[in-house]
Amino acid sequence: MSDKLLEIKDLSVEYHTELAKVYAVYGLNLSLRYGETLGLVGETGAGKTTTALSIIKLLPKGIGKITSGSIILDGIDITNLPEDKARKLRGNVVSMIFQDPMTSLNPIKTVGDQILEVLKNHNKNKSKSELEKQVDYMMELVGIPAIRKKDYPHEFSGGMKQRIVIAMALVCEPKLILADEPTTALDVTIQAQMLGLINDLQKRLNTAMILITHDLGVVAQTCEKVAVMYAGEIIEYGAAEQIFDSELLHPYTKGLFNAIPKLDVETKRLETIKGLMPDPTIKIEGCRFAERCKHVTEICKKTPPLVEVEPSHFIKCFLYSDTNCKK
Amino acid sequence: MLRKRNKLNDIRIFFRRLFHRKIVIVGMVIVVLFILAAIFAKAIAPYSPYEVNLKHALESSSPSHILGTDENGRDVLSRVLYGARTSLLIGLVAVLFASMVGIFLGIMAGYVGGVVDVVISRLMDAIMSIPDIMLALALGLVLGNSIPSLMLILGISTIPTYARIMRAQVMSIRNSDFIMAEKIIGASTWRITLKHILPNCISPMIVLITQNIGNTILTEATLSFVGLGVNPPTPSWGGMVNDGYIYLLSNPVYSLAPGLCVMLLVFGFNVVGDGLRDVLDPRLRGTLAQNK
Amino acid sequence: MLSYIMRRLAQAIIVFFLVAFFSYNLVFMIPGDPVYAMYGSNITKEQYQMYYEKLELDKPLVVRFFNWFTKFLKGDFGYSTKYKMGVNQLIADRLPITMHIGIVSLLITACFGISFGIIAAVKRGSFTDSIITVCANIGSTVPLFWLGVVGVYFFSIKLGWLPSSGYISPFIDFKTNLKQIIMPVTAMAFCQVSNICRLTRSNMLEVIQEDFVRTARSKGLVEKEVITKHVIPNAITPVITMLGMLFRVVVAGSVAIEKIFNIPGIGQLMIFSITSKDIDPLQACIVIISATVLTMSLLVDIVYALIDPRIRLR
Repeated sequence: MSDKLLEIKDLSVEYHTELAKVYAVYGLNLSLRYGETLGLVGETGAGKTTTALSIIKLLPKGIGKITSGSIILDGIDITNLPEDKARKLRGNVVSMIFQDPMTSLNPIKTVGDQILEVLKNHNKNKSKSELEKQVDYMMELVGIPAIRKKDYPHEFSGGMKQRIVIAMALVCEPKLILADEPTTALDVTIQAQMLGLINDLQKRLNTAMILITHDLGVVAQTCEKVAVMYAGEIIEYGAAEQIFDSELLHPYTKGLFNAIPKLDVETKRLETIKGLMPDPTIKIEGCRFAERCKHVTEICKKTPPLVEVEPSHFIKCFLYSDTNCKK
Repeated sequence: MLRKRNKLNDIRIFFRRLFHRKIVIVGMVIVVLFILAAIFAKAIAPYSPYEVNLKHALESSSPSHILGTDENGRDVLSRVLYGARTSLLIGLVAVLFASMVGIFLGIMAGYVGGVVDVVISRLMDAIMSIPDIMLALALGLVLGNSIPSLMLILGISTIPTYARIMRAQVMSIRNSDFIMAEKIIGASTWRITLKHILPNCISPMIVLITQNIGNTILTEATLSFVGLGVNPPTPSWGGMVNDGYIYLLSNPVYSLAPGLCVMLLVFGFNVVGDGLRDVLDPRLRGTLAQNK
Repeated sequence: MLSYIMRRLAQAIIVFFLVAFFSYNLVFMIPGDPVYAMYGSNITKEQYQMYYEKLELDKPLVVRFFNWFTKFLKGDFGYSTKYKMGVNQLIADRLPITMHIGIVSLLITACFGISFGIIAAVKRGSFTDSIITVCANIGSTVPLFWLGVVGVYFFSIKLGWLPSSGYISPFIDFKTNLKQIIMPVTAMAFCQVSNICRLTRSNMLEVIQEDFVRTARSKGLVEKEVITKHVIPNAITPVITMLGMLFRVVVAGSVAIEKIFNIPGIGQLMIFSITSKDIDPLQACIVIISATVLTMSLLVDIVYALIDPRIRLR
C-alpha cells in the first residue's frame, strides 16, 4: 500500500471553447503523502486552479477535459471516474476552498444549515442530532460560537465567512483539502490568522493540503513542500527550506525570488522576469520557459529532464542535467 | 492579428455581432419590409383603401382581391398596407416623444434629486399604476382620438418606463468616482450631464426604444380594436380585426390578416431589440442590474 | 424593515391621491362645458342649473375634489347614467368577474412560465431550450385581442367545442363557466407566460454562475439538489415580484378579452362608460384599479422583503 494520498502522472487538461483549444495543463506530475502540505506556486494562468479542479473533478462541464495522464487519489484512479462516484468524493474525501469568501455562501440559507448540508449528504445514516453536534463542534473549532448557527452569511465579516467555508470543507474530515488562494481576498491582518487556523486544523485532522497561491510568503509560513508551476507543468519541486534557502533553483524560481524586495540589500530597481507566459492555445515543445530565460541554449528546444539536484529537490531544467555543460 | 481600431471597423464589428444570430436578420427584414410597405403603400396597393364597392362586399380571396373585401367592398390588402402607415407612424412618434420626455425627467429626478425627484417619481408611479390601455381610454376622452392625439396619449403612458431607467442610471453613475473627479476639476452640471452621463446611458435606451415601439403598436391596435382608437375610415389593423370579427364566417382573412401583421411587426421590433441588447450587453449588465 | 414598509405605504398613498385627483379632473379636462359633456347638450336650462349645482361647479376645485374624494372613500362611487344604477353595485357585480379570470390566468402563467423557465435554464443550449425560447419569443408578440379572435374562429366557429361568449357565475353553473373561461384565461396566460419564462430563465442562468453554487457542487451534492435547494430559491424572488406587476397587465388585458367574449367585467364597463360618456363609473374604475395595482405592488414588495433575509433583518 502506497503511502501516497495523491499521485498525478503526466496530466493533460484542455479547455475546448468556441474560439480555441486551451492547453491549460500538460505533462504535469505531482504527488502528495497523507497529511502532507504542499504549496502550489505560480503566476496567474499557470494552471494551478485547473489542476485543483481536475482533482476534485469540477472542471467546467463540456469544456474542461482531462485528455491524458492519470490521477490516483487514496488508491483509486479517479481520472475517468463517472460523475455519481466522483460526487461521493467531493466534500468527503477531497474538499476545496475557493478564493472569495464574500460570494461563496448561499445568502438565503443559515450558515449552520450550509455546514450541515455537506455532513448530511455524506452521512445518510446518522441522526440529525448527531450531525448537529458535529456542526457545533466544527464551528467552535474554526473560532465561531455555535450559537451563531442560525445566522445568515451577510451577518458575518469576510474573515468569518472564510472560516465558515473552512468549516464546511473540513466537517467531513476529508483526506485532502485544496485551498485556492484562501487568503488573497482578505486583508493582511486577517491573513495571518487564517493561515494559522488552516495550519492548525490541518494538523489536528491530519488532512493533506494543497495550498494554491502566488504569494511566496504564504507558502513559507504554512507548507512543508513547495511545487512551482509554470505554463501548465511543474518545473520545480522540493521541501520548503530547500526552495527558499538553496542556491540551486530553476531560473524561473530564481526570478520570482529576485523580484521580492529585500530589507537587507540596497536595490535601486526591482528585478523582473522579462516577457509574458506563453500563449496557452499553443502546445510548446521543449522548455516552456526558454523564451524568457537568461540561460537559454540550443538544447532547450528539447523537453528538459526532471533532475534531482538535492535529495527530494527536483528541478526541470537542462542547467542541472549532465548533458548540459553550461554551469 | 489585431485590426486597426477605427470607426469603420467598429461599425463593421457592430453589425457582425448584431447579425450573429440569424433571427435578428429575420426581424430586421420584417421591420424594413413593413416600413417600405408603409412608405410606398400608394404605389403598391392595388386599390384605394377608401374605395367603396358594395357589389363586391365580403368576398373571400380572389385574384383581383388577394385578401378579399370587407363589408363595404373595400380591398382588404390595400387597407392592410395603408394600415401599416397608421401603426408605424403612431408607434414611432409616440415612442420618440415618450423617450425624449422620459429621459429628460429621469435625468432631472436622478441628478437633481430632492423634492424634484420625489415629485417626478410619484407622478411616474401614478401613471404606471393605471394600466396603459385604461389610461389611454381615459385620456382619449379628453384629447379625442385623432392621430396626433393618439401619439400623445400612447406616449404619455410610456414615459415612466424611460424616466425610471434613466433615473436609476443617472443615480448609479452620479456617485461614481469619475463624476467625482469631474466635479473636482470644476466641471459644470450641464457639462457633466451631457458629456458623461448621457453617453453611458445611451445603450440601454436604444434597446428600450426598439422594444417599446413593439409594445406601443400593440397598444394602439388594441385601442382601435375596442373602437376607441383611430377613427374610421382611416385603415388601422386593430380596427380591421374588430370590424371583421362579425364576418369571420364569410371572410375570415379580413379579421385575421391585420392581426397577423401586428404580430409580425411587433415580433420584428422585439427581436431586433433583443439583438441590440446582446451586442450592447456588457454595459447593460452593469448598470441596469442596479435597478433592482 | 418596518421603516421600509412605512415608507412604501406613504409613497403608495401619495400616488393614490394623485390618481384620484387626475380621475376626478377628467371631466373638467374635456374640451367644452363639463355639464354638457356629462349629461348631453340638449338639456333644459333648469336641468343645466340642477346639474351645475350637483357637480358643485360653483365651488373652487380643491373643495370640490375634497368633497368628491371623501364621498368616494366612504364607498359612494356615484351614479351611472347609462346603466341607471349606483356605481357601487356595478363594480360589486363586475369586479369579481374580472378578478376571477385575471387570477386564474396569473396562476396558469406562474405554473407554466416558471416551470418552462427552469427547464430551459437547466438544459441550456439544448434542443428543449431552443424550443422553449422560440415559443416564448412568439408568445410575447402575439396580440391578445387577435389571439382571442383566432381562438373564437377555431374553437367556436370551426370546431364548436367552446362557447364564444358569455359568463355565468361558477357558483351557479360551474361546468358552463369553466367552458366559458377556458379561452379567455388561456389567451391571457399565453401572452404572459413568455415574459415569466424568459425572466425565470435568465435569473436561473445568472444564479447558476454564482460562486456559492460552485461551493454547493464542491460539497458533493447531487446536481438536482444544487438546482432545487440553491439555485431556484435565489432565482425565484424577482419572478415573484414580476408576477405582482403582471396584475396590471392582466387588468389591461381584460379590456380586449371582455369585449371579444362579452364578459360583464370591469374592462367592458370602462369601454361602455367612455362610449356613452358615463363619467362616474369611469372615474371609479380608474381609481379602484389603480388602488388594486398599488396594493398588489406593495404586497409583493413586502413578500420580497420577508423572503430575502438580507432585507428582513435590516
